[in-house]
Amino acid sequence: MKIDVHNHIGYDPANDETRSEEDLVNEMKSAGVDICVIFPFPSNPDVIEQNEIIKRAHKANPDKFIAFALVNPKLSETPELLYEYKRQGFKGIVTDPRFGVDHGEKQFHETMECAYMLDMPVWLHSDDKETIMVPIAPMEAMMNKYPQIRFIMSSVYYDASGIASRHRNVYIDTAVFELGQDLAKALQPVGAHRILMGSHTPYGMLRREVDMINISGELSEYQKSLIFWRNANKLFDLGLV
Amino acid sequence: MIIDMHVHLSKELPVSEWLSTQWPNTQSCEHTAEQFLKKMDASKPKIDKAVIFGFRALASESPEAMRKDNDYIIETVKKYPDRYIGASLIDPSWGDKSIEELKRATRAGLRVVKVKFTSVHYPANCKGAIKLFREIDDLGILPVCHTDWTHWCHPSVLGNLAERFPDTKLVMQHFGISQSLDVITVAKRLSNVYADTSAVIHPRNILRFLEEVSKDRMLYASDTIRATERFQPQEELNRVLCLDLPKQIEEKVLGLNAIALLRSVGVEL
Repeated sequence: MKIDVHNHIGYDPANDETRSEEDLVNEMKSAGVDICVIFPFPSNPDVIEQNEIIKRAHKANPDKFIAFALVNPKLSETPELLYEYKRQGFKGIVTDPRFGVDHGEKQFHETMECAYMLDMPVWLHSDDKETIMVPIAPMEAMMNKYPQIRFIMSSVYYDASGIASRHRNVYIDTAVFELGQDLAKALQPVGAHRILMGSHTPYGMLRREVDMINISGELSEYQKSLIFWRNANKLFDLGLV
Repeated sequence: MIIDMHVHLSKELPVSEWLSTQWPNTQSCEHTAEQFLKKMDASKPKIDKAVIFGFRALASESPEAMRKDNDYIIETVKKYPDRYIGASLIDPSWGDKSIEELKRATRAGLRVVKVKFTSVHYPANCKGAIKLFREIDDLGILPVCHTDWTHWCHPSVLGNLAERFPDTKLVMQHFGISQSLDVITVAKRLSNVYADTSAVIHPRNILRFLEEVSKDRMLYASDTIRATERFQPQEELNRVLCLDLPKQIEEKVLGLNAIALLRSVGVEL
């Protein structure tokens, strides 16, 4: 069993690229990945329309996809949208610094309170190395303030392992560990029980992510299974055995 | 004449007293035309004119929000035609809707357009950015773009964009901030690249630009954003004055270069 938590579907206006659910299903087949978490490209500000694409993809492939909704905390209707997304079967939400709302701002905290009420994990997404520009202190204060929320943090964030080591409600994905040995470095401070396979497709590759975990000499078979699927199974309450 | 090439205006209401006192780091973005006029008049020497654009639409939550920002600039220029030169603010991530708004603002008389790719995490030479610049090129207006050290807006990335549109003059705002030397490298190669003086870390690099690149392509700018910034635009003005440039060169940087550049894209001064 393999679950990948970092996949984009929809339209990316920055790179003028469209990625369909069929493209991802084909890649899953060839890489031997069973389930993928899907959400829109954060480069696309039309979050409502793009979340519709995710909803339709999930509806067509309920056993293959777990849907996360992209959220712009600037939108005043965000709480109502989140309740609607929950009703529609979205499992969690995704935020991204590109929307220009700092982790310490009131709008961001309101969104977190809504996610807490709905018991939706929060993906602190970024696929960009310039997240070094995101101030860490407000982010960590927010993680402290909402210990019941489970955060998935893109490993692209500056000092992602350090942040995760200080907050037990934080998971990190494997998307930007350039080398398997970087993944191994997170084992001691964070623990394999809070690392999730995340390939960042279509810019990353499922196959590459599977290989990186498989060949790691530092991971036991059990730890590999945690990263491949057991952690995601527990986090998303999938009931897989 | 002194022209400030970089001022953000916003008629957004100030945040509540509760929020500003109880929520750490909350900042009001309010900065009205009237508030900045007072600052221009109080500057020594007095600032005669300013190029103005919005603030909230740097990363806008909707095309309507972007339109609202630009409407305020259009209204302001109508109200104070002798003091303000209007620029649209375009968030490129709305694709065709961004282009529609650019055309609308241009039709309304705004011959300058501000784009900050860093705000929406777009590399300045990505396909979406090139699409927008194709329109800017067709409209024959002046793009003024934020620069910094990131791979979104590094001078070399913006230089790559400028190189694709040699007939369009492009202002690299902030002179690269910490990357001024990279702006110099790019501007030596590309004659359509200009720089503004706002937020530059090392003012001596302004001298270097004037000596090594051109005396006609450096523009005074303050990047005033909020009414609460008590020392702007005077601090940025002092940054140029402290260089003790020969009078003729100083006049160019403070205004004459801006006049020539703005007139070249059809701004009536």
